[in-house]
Amino acid sequence: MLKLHNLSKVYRTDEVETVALNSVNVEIETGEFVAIMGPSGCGKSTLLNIIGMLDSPSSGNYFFMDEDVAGYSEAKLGNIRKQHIGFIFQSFNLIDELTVAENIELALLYHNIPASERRDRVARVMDKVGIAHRAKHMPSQLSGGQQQRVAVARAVVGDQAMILADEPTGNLDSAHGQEVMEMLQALNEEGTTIVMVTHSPAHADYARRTINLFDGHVVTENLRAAV
Amino acid sequence: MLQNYLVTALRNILKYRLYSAINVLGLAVGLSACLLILVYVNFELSYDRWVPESDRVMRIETRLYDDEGNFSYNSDRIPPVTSPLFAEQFPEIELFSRFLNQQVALSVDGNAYIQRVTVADPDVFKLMGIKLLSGNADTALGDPDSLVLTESNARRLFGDSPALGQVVKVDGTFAMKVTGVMPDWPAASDLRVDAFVPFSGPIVDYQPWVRTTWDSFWGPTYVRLASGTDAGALAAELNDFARRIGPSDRYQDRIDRGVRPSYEFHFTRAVDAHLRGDGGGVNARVSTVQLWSAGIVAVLILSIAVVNVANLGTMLALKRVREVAIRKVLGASARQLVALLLAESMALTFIAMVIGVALAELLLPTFGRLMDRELTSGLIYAPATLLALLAGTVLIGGICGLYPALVAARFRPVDHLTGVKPALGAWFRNVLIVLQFAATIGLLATCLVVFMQARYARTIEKGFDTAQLVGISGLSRPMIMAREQTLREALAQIPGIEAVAASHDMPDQNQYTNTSGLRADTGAFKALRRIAVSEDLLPLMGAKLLAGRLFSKDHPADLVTEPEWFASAGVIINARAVRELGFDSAQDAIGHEVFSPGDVRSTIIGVIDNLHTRSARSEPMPAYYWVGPQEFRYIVFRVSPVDMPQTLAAVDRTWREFFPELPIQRQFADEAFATFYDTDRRQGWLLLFSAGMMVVIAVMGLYALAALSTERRSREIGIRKVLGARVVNIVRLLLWQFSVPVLVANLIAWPLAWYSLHGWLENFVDHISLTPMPFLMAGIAVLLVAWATIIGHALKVARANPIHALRYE
Repeated sequence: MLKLHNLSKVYRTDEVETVALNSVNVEIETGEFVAIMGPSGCGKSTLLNIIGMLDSPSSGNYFFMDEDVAGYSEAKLGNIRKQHIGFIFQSFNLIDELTVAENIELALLYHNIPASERRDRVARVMDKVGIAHRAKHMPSQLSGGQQQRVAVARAVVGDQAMILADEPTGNLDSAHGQEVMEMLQALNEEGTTIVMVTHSPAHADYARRTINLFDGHVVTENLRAAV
Repeated sequence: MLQNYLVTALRNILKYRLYSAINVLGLAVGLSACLLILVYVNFELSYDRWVPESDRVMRIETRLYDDEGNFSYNSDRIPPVTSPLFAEQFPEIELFSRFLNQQVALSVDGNAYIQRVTVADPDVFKLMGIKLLSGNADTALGDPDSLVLTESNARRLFGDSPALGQVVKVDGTFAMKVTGVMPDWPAASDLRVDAFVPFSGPIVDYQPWVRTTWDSFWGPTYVRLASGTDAGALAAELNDFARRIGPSDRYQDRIDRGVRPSYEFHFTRAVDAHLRGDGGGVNARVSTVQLWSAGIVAVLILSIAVVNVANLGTMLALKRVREVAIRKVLGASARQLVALLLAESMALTFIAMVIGVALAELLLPTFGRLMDRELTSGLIYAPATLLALLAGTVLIGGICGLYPALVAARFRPVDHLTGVKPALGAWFRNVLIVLQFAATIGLLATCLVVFMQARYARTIEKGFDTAQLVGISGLSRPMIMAREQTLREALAQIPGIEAVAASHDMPDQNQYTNTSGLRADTGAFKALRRIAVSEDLLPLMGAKLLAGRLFSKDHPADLVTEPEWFASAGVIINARAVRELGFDSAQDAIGHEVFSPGDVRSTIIGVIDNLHTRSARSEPMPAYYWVGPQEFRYIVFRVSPVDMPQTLAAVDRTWREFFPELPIQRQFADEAFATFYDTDRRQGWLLLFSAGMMVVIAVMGLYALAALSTERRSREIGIRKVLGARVVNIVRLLLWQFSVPVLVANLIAWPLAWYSLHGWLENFVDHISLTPMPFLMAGIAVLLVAWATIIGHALKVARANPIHALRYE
């Protein structure tokens, strides 16, 4: 699916130069479920942002589906992103002024999909994540777990091949967190590639592989034995 | 505490310096616009208030009734012959003076000057409260040859040497002596006085009949009534008296016939007179309605500015929620916070006011020129104005600061320590934006229509060809009248002059109107406008003949007239007179006989289309044209466009040979028409000025609001981008967000503007029809301005990397 080769990211301000990622080499196969762990400030989110093409590396190569996208323009990256990548955030990032259904539909709005088909797909994905009965509600009327389910629905409604989740359970209690993890696992079993940043070792266990980052380096890669 | 607060307030202002600057400047612009308009309104309201005992000073006016006894119109004048009679008969009239304007040429040391003089009565100085700078007010107008000049006219004629006692030659014929110098006439007056001469003097002899006839109305007459006089009762006595001593054909004959007399005198307070003017035309008066609208616009501009500031202030206050929340947690009371935020807003308002006043003073000369009024900054710095400004500062500061202060006071700190932004007053803000755009669009549309009408009025089919048509005025002076025919012959010799004629009527500021009662052989009896022309005038004007023939030398019998007649043997009537006199058609009128005063019998030999020689506000009157040399007031000629400057120079040279001591006064007909629409143009400029100011303020407000609001939406935009939105999608989204209020504003503005413009256009006899075009243009213009204002923010936000917006939530 993707391959990072000697990838580095340096943030510069007038006085300080911060190395967020230092010669990272990571390869993720299609259909994998990968967890990225590490202490705060180790570069997890930077890595995820680069994988998600929201940020570009300072140096190194990023092969996405065998294409080196490291030097691509913003517009080109945007096109790849909207076709292949879905996002889930810790703080859900739903739009407060839109209903659940509208929030999910948003992900299809920029894909040139006719309105009737959009409605069908939104309905289907809402059924799948179990929030169909909340379709007309506003995000503020939902619990955190429900909001995150909406976010998951939004991430997959466009049939994205890969989901990037940035601490998807960080704002949830353990019951809701587990619910979300099970949903991700189910998606993975259907073939979706999932890359997840998490602090929770328990949730990392859902992944087949864990990448540990420390100060911008990959320190270990643990492969979990198949269950 | 206070110092700490000041530091944060100051740092906040600096941190958001763009918004703070917009805040202060927007308010300053609004204040200055409001101030300028109010100075103008106040100036218009101050007319004649400087006259001592102004509540007892009246203008005598006349209501005129036609032959059937129906009201025909109100004249602001009376026959000059009447006022001394009234003053003698009624002790209630303490003081009186006539104000009869005349233009003469004064020669001083071989230089000729055109001088406006006002024929007045000796009590004029006491009546109007004028103190002479030199000379004795009691005797200054005692002798027939006395002349009292204003200071600046005295300087114009005599430079720095004293004017008193100087002798000047008037119109090259008689001498007058300067017996007094007075201060310049106050600007806030309908009476524009440059010099006074007495009624007993020779200038009145130019129109000797005004000394005797009750049929000649000239100039306004002002009186001061004794205190406690009932003006209505006095007017009734005055009219009774007039019926006893006035001409019987105006009074007794009609009363015998059971028809109401043709005149009725009444009093109008001088201070009201200015605003009771007819709105358009030469007097350039304004109506109360116009002043009210100007005042409303001023308040509207200011309220929009205030609304903007309050709006922005709220947005800025929301940016400070965390600060306010922390202060509250640490023990600040709601009252303290409100007081501090209010104080901050008043301080900013005060700065805005100072800038606003400076701006107003800077713009005042230009504004005054546009409005054709002598507005001086003294009107701004009057103690009352300054006091009002100070009070306004407190009030506006209060209004601007109150909303943010209350928002701040209502915070529950717990909710905001985490940085959640309260979404207060979003609909309120939207309503304000909509109203602001509605006002701007409405004003812009009004502007467009006013200018379109002004342009249209100049292109209205006038019934004659105005191109290259020139009128020479001043023929009322006897010494010119005596030689006007030879002058015309001399002018006709100049190469480049295509034709020369003489007339009583030309497009001009003077607007001589003579009327005669005309009885047709059909039995109809109507008052018609009487226009004297030389036999070659109508072909020269290019008048359109509808039936019969024009005057010409080939039909000498048509041209026969006697000095005491008011019609020649043949007369030509205009299309309106055909209707008035009861003929079926123009052709039908030809050959009929009409009888003018003195039972002079004339034959209608021709009918021409109406000649529009006046503003489009007034319809051409029913009129008859006759060959009457004693009533010529203009020499009219058409000049070839080739070598025109040389030709005009030759005209001036010829004039000088005839009248070396009288400067020539000539004007192109097209120029005269342009001045007819001065009032409308002035109104248009005022509207444009207001609309411009509103646009500036609205743009400032919108700019800041767009910046703050797009910032608030940055998370949403980030989400959209992550989900695949392109820059163009985001920009479209944001443009649409700000287009909706503009579109809604159109729905409010269009019907209101349509309604008021419809009423305004009704004032014109010939007017453009209202099309959606100006309304659409105003709407689109405002929409484009709104887009231009926010496109920068939209692009910036749309291009920003979404992770910044999403990470730090």
